[in-house]
Formats: sequence, structure tokens, C-alpha cells
Amino acid sequence: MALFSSRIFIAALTLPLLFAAVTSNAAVPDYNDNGYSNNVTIHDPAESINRHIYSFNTGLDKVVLKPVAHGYQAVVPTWGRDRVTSFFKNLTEPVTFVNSILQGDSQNAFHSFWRFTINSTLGIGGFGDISHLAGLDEKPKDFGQTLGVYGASPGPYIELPIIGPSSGRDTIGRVVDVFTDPFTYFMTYPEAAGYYTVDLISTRSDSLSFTDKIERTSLDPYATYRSLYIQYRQNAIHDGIVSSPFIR
Amino acid sequence: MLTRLMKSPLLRSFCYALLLLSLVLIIRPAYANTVDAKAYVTQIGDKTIAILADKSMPQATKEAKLTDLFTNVIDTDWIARFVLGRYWNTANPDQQKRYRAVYQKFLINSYVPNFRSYTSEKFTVTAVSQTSPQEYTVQTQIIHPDKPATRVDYRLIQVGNVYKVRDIIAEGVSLINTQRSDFGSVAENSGIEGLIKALQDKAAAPQ
Repeated sequence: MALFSSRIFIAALTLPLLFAAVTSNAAVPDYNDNGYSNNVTIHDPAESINRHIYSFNTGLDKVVLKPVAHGYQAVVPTWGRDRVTSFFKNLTEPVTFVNSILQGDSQNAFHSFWRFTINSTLGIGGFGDISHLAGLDEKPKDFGQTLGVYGASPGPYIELPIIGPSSGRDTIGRVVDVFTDPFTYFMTYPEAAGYYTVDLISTRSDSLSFTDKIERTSLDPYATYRSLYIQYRQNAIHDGIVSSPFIR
Repeated sequence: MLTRLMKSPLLRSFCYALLLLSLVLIIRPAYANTVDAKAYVTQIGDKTIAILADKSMPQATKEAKLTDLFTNVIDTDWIARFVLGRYWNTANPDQQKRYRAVYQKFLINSYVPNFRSYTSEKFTVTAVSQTSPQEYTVQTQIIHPDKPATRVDYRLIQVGNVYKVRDIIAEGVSLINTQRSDFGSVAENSGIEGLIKALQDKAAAPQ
């Protein structure tokens, strides 16, 4: 009975999402879609402001972050960089754990718990990704995604300073993630500043070759990243729904 | 910037998806049912990887081979029109013709050189499904040496007695829908001529 009512509950919550998909589909009378259009609508009412922030981000990236990331690559060998990446990924597991539970994805909550436990101990503070060997592949979850699973639409597209692409929903999600992240409460301000800086450099370094490629092949990188972000988030939310035991 | 996107396996898998495009060379009419198609795609995909991984083959030869494959495999005329969306109808026949020609050059110059970044990835076909009498979706996984596998789907259409690729979907992100956003934005802001000019520049840019 409880299972049945939660199904109804979640179905009701996801209705607006379905409705949005249906209406947006009807609004696009494009050439010969034949089901190839993925029904992701882009709602960007503040585009001119967003483009200014994008230019600022790109400028900052060019002058500061990219050179630093290149320097990091020159100084730290691949093996070391992979360890740093693992370390930061491991620290996102508590947020993934909490949101897996909120999304009713007990399997991922279980995986996340064991990933964190194994990697923090045998993986020596998360520097080694041992759990990967045990088949516990990561599936990050965050609160913006949880809101999406419960039917919240993304709202307007927002380009955040430094952080980059986001949406109204995901911006709220990010704020909540800060509060559900236990490390927020353990770190002093200087530690947090160091943490975010190193994480940013590591992430930027990992993505250099790919962003270079995307920027070389797109005519309007702002529009391309916007589309990539919206589709990517839509997909993450869809996965969240599919993996939920209540809905299956 | 773009921290969430960058942390995702998306960018990585997108580039590999384009790299492995050539696996779709491929399905012949004799294999136009899903079970045989899967076996066939697997076999040809492995062969393609063998070419990519062949260290003795000169880069120029690889590039020529892949360009040839690419033009045979990708349904560029259809994709060109799809990605222009509603702006297609705002172009006159001459513009449509010039746009299609430059689009193909742009695609080749943008994606074929990706083969240089191939290292030791492998792929497996996880499923093949028939979505309409002429259409198939081939689900694959790209397997990285030390990282979790990423999912890439290829959408194929049977045209006469060959198969052509119409879309590549990496971790849920569609190539043609992304390009439609990109091109639509340029067409909106700079018009069809501006778009053709931008494509010409990209098609001529060294990769």
C-alpha cells in the first residue's frame, strides 16, 4: 500500500515535467524531425546578461585558470593528477548518498556508501579509486537533480560567474548541496578556499583537451555549452527516474 | 569554468564517440536484423579500433581512410538540414546549396582529426534496437583503461541498401541537437550568410 501510494505521489510530481516535454515538442515545427529532436527546450530570458558573464568567465579562464591548469599538468605527472581527481570525487560521495536516498535510488545509495567507505580507507583518503575495481561505478547525484526527479523544471538558464552553466533549479540545488555536504562543517574558511581552488585547477586540467576541441568545433560556444548543459542535466534526471524502485 | 560539465564524463565520451564514428561503416543489408547487426557492428568496430591503434600506419593514411569512411557513413545531407532547423526555410536555394557543401567540409575538418587523440579505448555493442522499419539504434559502451565506461548510442537509417548515421548520442547528449542550438544561434544573430561564413572559417581552420 505504501509502495502504491508513493508511486502515485511520484507520478503526480513528474507530471509537470512530462507536460513540459509534450508542449515544447508541439511548439517546434522543424524540418523532418522524425523523432530526432530531443524535446529539450532552452529557456534563456537573460541571455544578454548571461553572455556577458560568459565572456567574463572565458576571459578569466584564458588569463588565469587555463595557464594555471597547463602549469599543473607540466609539474604534476598523470598518475599524480589522477590521484587528486579521485580525492575530490570521493569527497562528493556524501552528497550523492543523501540525494540517492531522496530520489529513492537505494542501489546507488548503497554503492555510494561503500565507495566512500572503501576509498577513504583502503584507497587512503580517497586518493586511490579502489571501489572501481569492485564494480562500484560512480553515479554522482546532487540536489538540483533531485528537484528535477520530483518534477521541477530547470527554470531559466543561468551562467554563473566562475562556476559556469546552471539553471534556476540547479542554482538552488547547489546552495542546498553546500549544506548537505558534511565537509562544509569541518572546514575553516582558508581550508575551504584551498579546497575549492585545488578542485577547480584539477577539474580544469582534466577537461582541457575536451573544451579545446569543443571550442574549435562550435560556431557559438556559448550556445553550444548551453545546449550541452541542458541536455546533460535532462539525461541525469531521466536516469534518476528510471533507476528509482518506486517508479519501476 | 563549467565545473559541473567538466566533472561529467560527457565531454570525454563525446569526443570518443566522434572518434569511433567509423565503427558504423558498416551494417550491410544482409545484416538488417538486430541480432546479426550486433555481431557485425562488433566485428567491424574491432577492426576499426585495430586501424586506429596501428602504430605503423602513417598519420596521413589514417586520416585519408577515416575521411573516406566518414563521408560514406554519415548522412550529411540530412543532418545539414536538420541542424539548420527552421532557418532552412529562410535560406534561398543557392544558400542551401552552398551551406550543404560547406557543412560537409566543416564536419570532416572538425571531427576526423579527433583520431589523433585515440589511446587505448575499446568499445562493445551492448544492444541494437529497431526503432522503425528503416531505423536502428546501436547502443555501445566505450571502455577506458582506468575510468568508468561511457555510453554512446548511434542512430542509423537504412538508405537504399546502405546504412547511414544520423545522430550520435553520448551520455544522453545528442550531437545533432547540440549543433542545432549552435547553428540556430548564429543564424539568428548573423543570418544565413553569417553562418556560411563562420562554417567556411571553421572548415579551413587547422585542427
